[in-house]
Amino acid sequence: MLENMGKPGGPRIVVCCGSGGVGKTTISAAIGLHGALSGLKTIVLTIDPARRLADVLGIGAFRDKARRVPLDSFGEMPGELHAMMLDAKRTFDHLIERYAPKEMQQRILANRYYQHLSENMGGSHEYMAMEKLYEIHAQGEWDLIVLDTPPSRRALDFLDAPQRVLNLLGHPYFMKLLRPRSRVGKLGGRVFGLVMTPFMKAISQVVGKQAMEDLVSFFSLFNDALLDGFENRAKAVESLLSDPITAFVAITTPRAYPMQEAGFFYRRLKERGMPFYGFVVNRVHQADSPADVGMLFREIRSKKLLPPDSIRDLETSYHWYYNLAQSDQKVIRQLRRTTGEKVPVSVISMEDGEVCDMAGLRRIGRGIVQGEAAPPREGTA
Amino acid sequence: MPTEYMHKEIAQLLSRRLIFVMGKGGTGKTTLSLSLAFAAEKAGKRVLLAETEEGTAIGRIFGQTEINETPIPVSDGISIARVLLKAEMAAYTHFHIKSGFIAKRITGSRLFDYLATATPGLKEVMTLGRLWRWEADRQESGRPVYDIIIVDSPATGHVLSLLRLPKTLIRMIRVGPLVSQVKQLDALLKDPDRTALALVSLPEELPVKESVELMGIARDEIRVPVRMFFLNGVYPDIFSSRNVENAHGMIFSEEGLGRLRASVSHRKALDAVVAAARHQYTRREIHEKYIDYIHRAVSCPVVEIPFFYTNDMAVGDMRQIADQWVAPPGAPGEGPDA
Repeated sequence: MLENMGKPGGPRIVVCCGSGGVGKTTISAAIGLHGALSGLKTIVLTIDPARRLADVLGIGAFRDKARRVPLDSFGEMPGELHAMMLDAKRTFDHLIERYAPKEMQQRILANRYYQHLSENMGGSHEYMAMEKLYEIHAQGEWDLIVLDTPPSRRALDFLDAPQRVLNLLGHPYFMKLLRPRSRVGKLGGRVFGLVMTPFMKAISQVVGKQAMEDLVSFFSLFNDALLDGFENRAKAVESLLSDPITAFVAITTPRAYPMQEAGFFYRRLKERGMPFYGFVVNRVHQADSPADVGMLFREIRSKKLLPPDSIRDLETSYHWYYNLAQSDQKVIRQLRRTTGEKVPVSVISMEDGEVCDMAGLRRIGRGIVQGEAAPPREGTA
Repeated sequence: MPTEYMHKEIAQLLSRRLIFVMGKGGTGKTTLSLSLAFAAEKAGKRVLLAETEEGTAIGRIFGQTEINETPIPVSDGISIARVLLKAEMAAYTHFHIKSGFIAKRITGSRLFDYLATATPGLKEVMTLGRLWRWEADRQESGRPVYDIIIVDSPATGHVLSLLRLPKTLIRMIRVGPLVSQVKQLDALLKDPDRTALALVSLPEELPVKESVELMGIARDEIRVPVRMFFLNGVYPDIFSSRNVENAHGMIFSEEGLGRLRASVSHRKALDAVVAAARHQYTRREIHEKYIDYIHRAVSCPVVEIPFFYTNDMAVGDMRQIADQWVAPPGAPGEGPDA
């Protein structure tokens, strides 16, 4: 999978999606590292507030600034790896600064609805990830951009995010309903003499008058130029995402819930005709199952090679682990059955230890591209 | 944790009226919610297991695709329900607007939808309002309909904004019919005898770090401290406590393994067995590191949930977890040995 990324005709943007806790950040970093090691000028974007990528890559907690990841340990190499942590709030603020008239900017940034929407609204992080992706792509300096999507409950949230944000901010219905009325006597961001219809009065009885006033004042701050700016941008982002230079990859583990999410994501992308490149099944338990395991234990027992307790422990451990590996394989077979032969599935083995170094990332990156990655098992080769 | 002590701690946790289960995605919130529900049921309580709008896991586990605010009994002591924002908003509006006609127009309007999404705290107050009404539900005898309400929350951020809500809302709305309700809600949430937070995490570096951060926020900022910390998916201690010498020497050291390999004829089988053993031994070592870390970092009781060797935990698995948590009747404090 992704063998041709960054090459002519191949994808230049890789979007990693999946539900929370499947190792998206690690996989994104591994794909990025693989790109860099094959000579590409690569940047990995993550929006995770827990600074996970920073931990894995050993870079500081700088927000919204690309940092070069030192790859000295790999010797001379033609590519580069950069990483950037996105700050949703700041990206939103940048947008306001770009499209809003100077005199309005401060008032928008200070409005309580704006603050709430930009930080807490469902989809705002997803929207901002897309926005930043577009901006960085437009810089034109990167051979490969890898985006680690925000941990959304539904892997697909971010696809709808641009439209959702637009619906909330600039729906003509609300514009008509709220904006003309709020032109009356604005002073210092507050609205005076708000004319409310009986209908609006009734609503404000439910949500409170203050909330209503804040909302009206929020809408009054958005002019058409600002909304056009937002809308054009959202359309540009959408067309970038459906362009063949973008590759979507679904990350999952063999567990039931993330698998369901990944399958759902795949079907939705297919419906939309968007460029899906394959599944990465992460943390897969692998166990060989030679036919003579039973005989091995009989041999160890009869020759008294280990104390009886140790033999029992070994038997238990093998039995449990083998069942788990079988269960993982079953889930992967199911995935392959439902999606068909043509969809690539890369299987990444559960590592014995923790993946917290470049060598581990490199192993995983190679595994994603080659389709399988067995963890190193020294001494048993 | 000694069994007797754990039974006591769990019993204390389950003596609350309202438990919020929180944790990052993929750490096992639904597993914990269900296990707590089964434990409470086993302790003779009537349980309401609730999920918020975004959640779908609990309904699915019990084969119910569309659950709503009307609780459905799924076992002797457990009912399940789901908080749906629009239904709550509608009920609330009908309560406050005298004219049914206007109320209907309001709840059917797009402005209403907009406000529901965009008004800070409104979504949370509706969710909390529903939980609060469930809490207040009484039978004719005066006994609560539900002894305990366990909330499987979709995301960490969501629980935090739920608990942050009273402050935000009072600041936003200042006056109006909501405010008096908010103050009562606040009293329920801040009452340590009635409300508790349970946090679930995995014994891995990042989840553990994030949980400790989260506990700090809950304690210092929200002022609803985490009462119990659950570590989910802890690998069993197959090798380290018994026969440490043997396990280390004969299986895990290159020298010991070399000797063993030289003495057996089924070498491929040995490699497979040793690979499985090494994986679990290494995992267990890592898990122990984070268990120790958590014990040092948090002041509340820490309960471990064992790793299940499967990809899709069944209801029976969670009952099994719950069985470990509750002392059998007639033998208070005398738990079954695992």
